[in-house]
Amino acid sequence: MTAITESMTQKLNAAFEGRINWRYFLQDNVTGSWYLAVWVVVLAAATVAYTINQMNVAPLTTIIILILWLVGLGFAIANGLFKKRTAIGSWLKTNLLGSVSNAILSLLLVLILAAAVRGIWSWAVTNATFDPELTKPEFRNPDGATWGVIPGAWELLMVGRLDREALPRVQMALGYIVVLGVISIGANVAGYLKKIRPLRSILLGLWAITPIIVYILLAGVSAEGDFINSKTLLIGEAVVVGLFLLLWWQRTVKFSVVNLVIWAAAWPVAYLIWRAIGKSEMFPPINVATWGGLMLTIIIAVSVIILSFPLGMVLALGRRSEIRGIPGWLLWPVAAILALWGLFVSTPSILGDIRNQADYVLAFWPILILGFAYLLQKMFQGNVVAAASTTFIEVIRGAPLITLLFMAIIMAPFFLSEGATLENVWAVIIGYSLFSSAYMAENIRGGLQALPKGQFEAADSLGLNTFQKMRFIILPQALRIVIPAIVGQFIGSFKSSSLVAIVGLFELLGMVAVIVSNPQWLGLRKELFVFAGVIYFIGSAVMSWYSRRLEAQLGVGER
Amino acid sequence: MAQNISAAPEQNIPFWRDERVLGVFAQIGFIIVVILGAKLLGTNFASNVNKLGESQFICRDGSFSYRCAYDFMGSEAGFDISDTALDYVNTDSYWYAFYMGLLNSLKVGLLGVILTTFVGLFVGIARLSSNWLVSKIALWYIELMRNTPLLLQLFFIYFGVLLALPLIQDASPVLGLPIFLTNRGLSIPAPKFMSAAAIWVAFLILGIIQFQVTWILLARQEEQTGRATNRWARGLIGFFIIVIAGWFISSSVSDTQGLLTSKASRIRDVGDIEKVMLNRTNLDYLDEIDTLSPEEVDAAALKICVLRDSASEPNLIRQIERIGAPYTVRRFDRPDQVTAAYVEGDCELFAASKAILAAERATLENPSAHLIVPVKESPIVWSVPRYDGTNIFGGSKLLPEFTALLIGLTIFYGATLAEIVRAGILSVSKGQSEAARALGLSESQRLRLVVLPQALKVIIPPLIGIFLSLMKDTSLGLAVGYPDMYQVTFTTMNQSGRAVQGILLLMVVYLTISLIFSIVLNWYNSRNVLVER
Amino acid sequence: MTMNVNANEDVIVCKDVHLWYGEFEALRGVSLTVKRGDVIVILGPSGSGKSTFIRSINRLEEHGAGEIVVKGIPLTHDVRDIAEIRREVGMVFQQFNLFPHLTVMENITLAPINVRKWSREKAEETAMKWLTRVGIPEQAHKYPGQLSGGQQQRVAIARTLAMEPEVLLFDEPTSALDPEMVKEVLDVMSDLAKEGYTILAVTHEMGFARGVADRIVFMDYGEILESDHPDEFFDNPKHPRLKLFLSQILHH
Repeated sequence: MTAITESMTQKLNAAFEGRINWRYFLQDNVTGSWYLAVWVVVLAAATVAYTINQMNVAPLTTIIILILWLVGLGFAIANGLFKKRTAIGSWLKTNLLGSVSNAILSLLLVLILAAAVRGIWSWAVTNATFDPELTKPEFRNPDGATWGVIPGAWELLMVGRLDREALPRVQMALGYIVVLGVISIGANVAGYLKKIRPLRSILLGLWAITPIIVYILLAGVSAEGDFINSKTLLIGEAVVVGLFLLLWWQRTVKFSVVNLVIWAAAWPVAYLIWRAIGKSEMFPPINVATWGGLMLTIIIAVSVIILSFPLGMVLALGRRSEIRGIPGWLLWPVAAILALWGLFVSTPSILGDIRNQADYVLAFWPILILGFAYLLQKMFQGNVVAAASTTFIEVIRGAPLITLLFMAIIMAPFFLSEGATLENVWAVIIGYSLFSSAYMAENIRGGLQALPKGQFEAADSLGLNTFQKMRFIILPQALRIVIPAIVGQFIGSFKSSSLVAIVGLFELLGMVAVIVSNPQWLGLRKELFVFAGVIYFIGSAVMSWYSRRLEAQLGVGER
Repeated sequence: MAQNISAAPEQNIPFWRDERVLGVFAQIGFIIVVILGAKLLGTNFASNVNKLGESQFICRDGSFSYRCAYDFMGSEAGFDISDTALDYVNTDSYWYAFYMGLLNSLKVGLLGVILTTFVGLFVGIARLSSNWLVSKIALWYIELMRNTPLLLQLFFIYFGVLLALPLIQDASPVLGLPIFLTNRGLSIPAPKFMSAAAIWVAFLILGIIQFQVTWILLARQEEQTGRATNRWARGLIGFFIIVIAGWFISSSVSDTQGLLTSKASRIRDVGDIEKVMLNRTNLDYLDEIDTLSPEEVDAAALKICVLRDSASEPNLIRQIERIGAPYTVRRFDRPDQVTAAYVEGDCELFAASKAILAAERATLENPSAHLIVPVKESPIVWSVPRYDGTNIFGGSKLLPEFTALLIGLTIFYGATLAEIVRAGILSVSKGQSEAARALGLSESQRLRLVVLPQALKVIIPPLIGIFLSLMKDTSLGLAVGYPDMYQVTFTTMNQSGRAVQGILLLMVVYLTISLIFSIVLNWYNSRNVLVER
Repeated sequence: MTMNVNANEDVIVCKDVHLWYGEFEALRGVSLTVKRGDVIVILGPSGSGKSTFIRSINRLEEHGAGEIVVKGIPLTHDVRDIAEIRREVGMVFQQFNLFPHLTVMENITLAPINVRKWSREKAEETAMKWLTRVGIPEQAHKYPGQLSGGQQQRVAIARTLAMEPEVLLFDEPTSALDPEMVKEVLDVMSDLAKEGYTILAVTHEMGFARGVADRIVFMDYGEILESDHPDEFFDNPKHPRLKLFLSQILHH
């Protein structure tokens, strides 16, 4: 026995002669430092224990993995010691079997992964049932998934409790977007967008009116009311023409009769088309409270990003605005007068009716006015616009989203004028958009800050006014910089729209709760969670992949 | 000041062209728009409130005033909270209930922050591992977490994992450790603090002060003599001497724990238990107890009664186990129940704090026939969960709601943090490492002195942002039914019908928390800017 | 191009201009009069306030005290006057500050179309004229990122000239350029000087200063310490700090 061992050692030594220095090898891999040694020993012990455990559970796979591991080790050794370079050997050596600890760790991880895959596979495939008819508790295999719930509850998952007669309209909306998307991407890839200018304008126009088309399809237009409402028409007209005049005054649009006519005609034409659709009863109103499932998730995510974008832009510009502030000599007297007025009028009345200690403090609230004035002067140089924007952004960012959602649902009715009502869906979308706009504002502000100061100065020195400077120089560049961040935010609102489930709207996750309380699908949470997870994962992963691509493109672009 | 010297000889600029005047006009215009908007909303609010019958703002005396908006918070809450840090009963006020909720939120938040830091560091470093498999597993973990909603993860952990755990009837220790994982929560060993702990903590602080003083003195000495001294070792030795001495001193000084027993039991001291047991079993040494049959052991076992989850239990049991005496433990919710059992003869010993025992002894028929034996106490006793076939006692119990929220927040934010850690470490340019190696620094010195300080500067600002998000997302406890501040407020709003006040209160608390975080962030940033100069 | 009106008129008059950044006084009473057609080079060590001074002439910095009058228009808080002065004064920056998202042509025509209200045709025609003058008409439809530094700076000059200003301010126009590109920009500047533009240039190009300038102004610590004809300035400096400065930059 000893002789055999000795001859083996000799043979080994001969084979490794001059190729390896055992002392250095040990020092590099095991005895280099005490924590390395402990790590290797612990790892080895855990691996041996786990291997034995797996041998009992699944001998065949474990043996295959062990053999593969040894073969790989052989490749790596051949690669490192005998200069027999193979692609697979090099890869294994750098990535998996580079050192003793790495080799052991790789084996342990492969074994654990194999066990995990086996477990998941047996639950999701081997023991699973797929028949939508066999989802009742008595037909289920307790060790496997009941995937039948997904085709069974498909419509609920997709559109919630929407009236099934309205399904064709959902399909039309989906079809419209898909067709438009395919055309746009196709034209972009084929390079037609740059060559044919009108095509680009047409596609942009179609995208611009998509929200309106989708609204008409999914929410419908009411036939009630007069065909022509002169009050609405006139107010709208005044707003449009006023906007035109403002832009003209700020020299961002040109004044010409043609321009004026186009602007002036836009509103009445749009209004009449709207009323015509309503009167024709082609798309009668749908109760938006029945929206649900993935459709609602997407509606919320998209509406939020569309609404929060302009608001966020206004907030960002407001926060960065360099309008001259109210000077101290004006601010302080006004604040002092207001504070004194409060101290003389309000304070005595509260002090006269003291109920507890807190009232003593409360009574002197007018002093706060001076505090605000101080903050305004100190932090914002008297710039109320910047102060208000900053306060709004920071307050919203300081509160959790569900506070805002609850606030929207619970408090919105308090702030509506008499007789007005607001569907929860709209309230949630508005609350969510306010929330999102604060984050959008910070993204856009990041873009503005990333612009070199020289761009502002060059625009100033050329004599552009503030409007022109923003419109032609600053915003086009800033927005381009923040596109990836905006896509990121869209992913965020796509995922976070799941929170509306907490406030009682039935988007994808909310629908899961509804479905699992149905006796037919009672308790099939895991399957539905996995399904929802896959949808979220694919959606988010695709978008973030796109955003990374976009980032790379913009990075090498025109700069 | 100098800036106030007015610019240029004042020309007569028409005010509508003076940029200063225009600025003030714009500001005032903006203020007017804001006030008009606020007024519109305010009018609507006032009229809606009036329609609701002014009940929202009713005072104690029945009058109506906006000042009384929060008066209702003083009245009885009337709902139970499943998990509270302090004693709470449903007759406490809404304010107190809210406070309990706030403590719960902070508990989850702080634990979450600590765990997230560990998970984030671990995964972030794993992501940079030279082992392909490790780095890919870390990548997939990060991608999975970042591309699915936090709420879905919480639901999955709560409904899919924690509630699917074994029933309490089927509980078994995890990995042979005294840890029980059932669908009613996670029971783990936990330290219990006795009254002596307060004294011991004083010693602990003394030890720390000693360490600091030693450190400073030795540093001064090093400077003077120019010779290195082992500051760590000397400081730590002093620290441990003080702490260990403090342990014995505090346990001998404090005297709050006791045993209620009848004089007939002849137990005058915990040490007497050995004699009594030897007597009962007719053995010479308690080590020989294995020679008895199980029935005999059961018959001889000490019958101990305690209050549920009291620290007295592990404290006494530890000492009895040291003696090696057999015993059984019965647990009750209230002292009077124990006393009843004691009178019945179901309990020989009643272990609790002396104050409780004295009060209970006074209720007995013949108090003089019973005495209170002092029990030595340790500052901290280790309470280990025990399973008796139907229930789990002792240790610290984490509700599934709490566990789900904590795990959910930790793994989600751990993934986010991992990306930041990775980016931070990668942000330190290769040149820095090369320069460090060229200077002959060892690998650990290179990491400690060159890479980490620079990486931390990149990591810490977003890290603070992550912690703030985590704090805010404790509000998702509502989704899994954990009684955090949000859920308590929500119940309050439902019961009292005061939605506006509840939401405002929440906003104020969350804004305070976020203000604290931004102050910390600003402080860090400003300090860093100074360091960079 | 000829500037025949009132050749001796004062185009820029600065009297005792002060400017503060917080507590720091960047300009401490700068007085300078520039006549029509003058070419003035401002020299000085870094931090001397020379850039601040020319930037305050078209209101990129707001001066705290003193008087700046451009073409008879006082520079005050009057928004109309500020706009007017900016139209009459063109500025070329060290970092070019071209708009990277617009083509060269769009860069040049943007201001004439939107500020001067020219038609697109006229603006493009003028733009081509100026591009030809600075020698790069073939680059009109490229983006700034595709041009070399010297070409970019020439586009920036063309962009400034397209607004037809009378006064040109150059803020270290060659400092950000690679050495081999400096000459092409200096040539354009020299041509403009010969054509009678009123030029105020901050530059470290001594050759340009000596050969082209009518007057050289030396600034340090926010003050004008010496102002003289180039020959006198270089050969017979009077102020000790100017002597030191010249010895530092010339004896290398």
